[in-house]
Amino acid sequence: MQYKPRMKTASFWFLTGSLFLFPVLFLIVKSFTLPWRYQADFHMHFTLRGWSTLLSENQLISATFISLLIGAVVVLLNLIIGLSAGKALAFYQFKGKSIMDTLFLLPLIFPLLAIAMGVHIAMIRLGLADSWIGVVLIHLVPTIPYSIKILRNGYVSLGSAMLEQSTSLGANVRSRFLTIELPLLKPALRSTIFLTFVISLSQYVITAIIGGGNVVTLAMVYFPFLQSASSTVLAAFSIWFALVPILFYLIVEIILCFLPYQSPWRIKT
Amino acid sequence: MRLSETNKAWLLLLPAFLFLLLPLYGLLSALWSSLTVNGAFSLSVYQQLMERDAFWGSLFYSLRIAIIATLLSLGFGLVFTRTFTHYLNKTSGKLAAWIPMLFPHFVWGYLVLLLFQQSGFISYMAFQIGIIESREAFPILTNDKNGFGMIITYMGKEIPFVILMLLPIYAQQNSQYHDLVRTLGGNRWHRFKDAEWPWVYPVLLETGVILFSFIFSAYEIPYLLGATFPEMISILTYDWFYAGDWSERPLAFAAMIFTSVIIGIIAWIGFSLMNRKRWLLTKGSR
Amino acid sequence: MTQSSFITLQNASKSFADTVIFKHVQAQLSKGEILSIVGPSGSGKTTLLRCLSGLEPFSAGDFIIDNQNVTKLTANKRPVSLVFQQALLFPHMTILDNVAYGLTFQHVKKKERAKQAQELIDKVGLKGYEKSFPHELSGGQQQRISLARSLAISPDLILLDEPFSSLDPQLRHEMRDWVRKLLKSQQMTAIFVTHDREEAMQMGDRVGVFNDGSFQQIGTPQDVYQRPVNPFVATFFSDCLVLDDHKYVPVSHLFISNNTSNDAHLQLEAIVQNQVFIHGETFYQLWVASMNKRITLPSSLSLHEGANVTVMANAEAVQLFPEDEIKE
Repeated sequence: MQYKPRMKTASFWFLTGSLFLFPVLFLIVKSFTLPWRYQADFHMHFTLRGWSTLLSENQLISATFISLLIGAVVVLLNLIIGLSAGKALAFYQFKGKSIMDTLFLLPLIFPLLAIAMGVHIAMIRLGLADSWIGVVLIHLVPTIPYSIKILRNGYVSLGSAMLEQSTSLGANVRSRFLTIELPLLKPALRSTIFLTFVISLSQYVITAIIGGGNVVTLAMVYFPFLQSASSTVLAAFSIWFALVPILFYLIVEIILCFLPYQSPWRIKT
Repeated sequence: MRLSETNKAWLLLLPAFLFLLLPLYGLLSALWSSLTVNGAFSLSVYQQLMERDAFWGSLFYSLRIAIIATLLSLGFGLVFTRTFTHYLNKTSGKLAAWIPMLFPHFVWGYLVLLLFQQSGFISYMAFQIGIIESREAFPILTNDKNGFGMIITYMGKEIPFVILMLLPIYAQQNSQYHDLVRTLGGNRWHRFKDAEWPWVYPVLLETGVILFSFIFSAYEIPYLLGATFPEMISILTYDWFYAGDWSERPLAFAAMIFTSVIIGIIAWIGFSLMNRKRWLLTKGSR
Repeated sequence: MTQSSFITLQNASKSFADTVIFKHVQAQLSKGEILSIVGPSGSGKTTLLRCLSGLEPFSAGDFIIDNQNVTKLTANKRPVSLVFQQALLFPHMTILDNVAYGLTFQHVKKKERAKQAQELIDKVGLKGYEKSFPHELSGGQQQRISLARSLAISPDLILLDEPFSSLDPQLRHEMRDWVRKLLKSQQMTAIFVTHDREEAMQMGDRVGVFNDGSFQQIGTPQDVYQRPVNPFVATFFSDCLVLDDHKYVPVSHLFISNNTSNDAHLQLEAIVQNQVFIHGETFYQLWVASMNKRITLPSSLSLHEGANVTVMANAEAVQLFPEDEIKE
């Protein structure tokens, strides 16, 4: 409003470009070039060595699968807990509801390190330490609060009348969930799934404590690399970290297509 | 049997409550471990902790870094969102601003290392252009005492998060409030203060509390970009937790409990301010 | 009443915690009949509708459809369907899928479902829209599809909760007539809720005036309008000047005069507030200070704002409310 729109467009793209896009481009270029020598002239040497070293690292593929498995289970548990709690918070009136909102935010606020250290002994006793199930459980702590929040907002914007209309037409709880709730919550489901997966993928210290080095996720491979590998390999590895959630996202999109009443050839707004 | 509405709600909340047991147990068990010596109740661990200079140094250092990084992220995020709401609402803008969300914190930290360290890209370019004569002339910006590297990493990751939280508010903003303030004779500042701030403020507070708590106690970024002295509290705790003979484990628990208490106090202040404001807002729907 | 009715509501009550929404509600409908329920907002009529649909349970009472007690049936099992204020079409489904939606739960084969839905779409005049999505339709069209969707499951009773309130006045008038004809052509038994008495008269074979959680009076529109049973019905549904708890005068028997007269039984001092013109006639809105009431009367006199006039009625115009009121 105050200054010319074109200026504004330019400044928006300059800022997002330099703050958010350039770093990623830089990583991509870096993963295909040899490390620079400081005293030499400016030049870039193209190489595939970074990627080939990364992909021949025998832990990489297994760690990717473990991360995908753990991420998928964490996402599934998030959906179960988030959908039910989100629905309760969106549609029902009961005492202490506002306290509940704060309560569900608390796991996000207290130090994950403290929580992981605290449950560690119990996990050992239950035989969950050093196992992927234990890692899944601890990954719930930094993810569930977001899922509840997003899905609650999803249910609020869906509105209870839409669900009542479905019931009035004869749908039972199960078919209403499949035909109305899931399809209409798709945007919220997408956000939840994506965010949950990325957060799960990003956990190093709690995975290290609970997994005890036996559950080798991608983060567990990445950290030792920081000491040993060349910057070219590490740049490739860094990009790998963004590719895995994208891969997961694509799988999820395909699964979401199987929800009832999806017609991909029609564009809806 | 037909469940009553309240019972249905509690049934739906049951999985979430079961989940809450996990962090609750974790915190209580950490508290228990910090308050017992050989099975008996004792405050001696805390006494020991108070006497450690390293603890106090780490605590205040972490507090400082967390406050600076949080305030900068909130500030830039707010200005960015309100200036560019229109662009952020479009798919291209949204995608661009949220790219950092795709990467784990530690990857973004490594990126900062690649860019800002003395042998990093910026230093290299400055050298090629001729601004500096050797890489030693480039200021130390990573693993530095002031925490510049950590702060810049957190900003890179958290500004998009702040945008994510604030965008719905700005996207659904009722411009009639702006017009109202304008017709009543309010200037730009009044429009911000009366037509925007009341809606933005609760979300900003909530986001701020989440960011502060996270940055205050996170491990990964200090591990990558922190200085050896002073250390962030999480690094100190981790070292104590895994110190050879486990003799310092109680100290690690006590340090984390102390950190939790500080976070708890700040969060409590934040949430009580927020809930009062929210309550007022729900009275006048827009 | 010896002849058993198609739909019977006996002693129905509903309360939340300690607030009573309605109590001891009685109603009967014969097959194919349309009952309008009219009442001010907050009278409990929407809650009554939600209880009839099964979305809320009754606190007490019986709801019988076609000799079968359905009180305990949940909303999805009840042969009752509800049309909401908003069209509430499912945005991710085509119009055909929307209309066929309810049939999927009645184990109708897919081909048959599509055929029945198509018939209804044609019947509500939206042929050619079956592959469209709801957002491509106007508000009135959406509401027609919503109605078709509720009719598709062939319910024994259809409930309509102010379905025209989100439409503009012009469209609302057209829809009333059209919906009534459609319901009649399907021989559908229906309950229609509204706060607009004109709409209630237009839509219902009978009207039920609802206030304070119970029916004040049920009868044909003419009956209720001409013979209100209590002061509330007389003012809310009929055009009457209520004199006290027992006596009223229909507005049609009142007239305005510039001066006082000895012949008239009733004489009230009034002040002209303003004038309006409806259907070619001039109406004056008058303030009767002694009764603290405002009435609207037609008159051929030329009166100006603030004029002091007298409102008169003859002795035979004063009517009594029946002693045996159905209320209480």
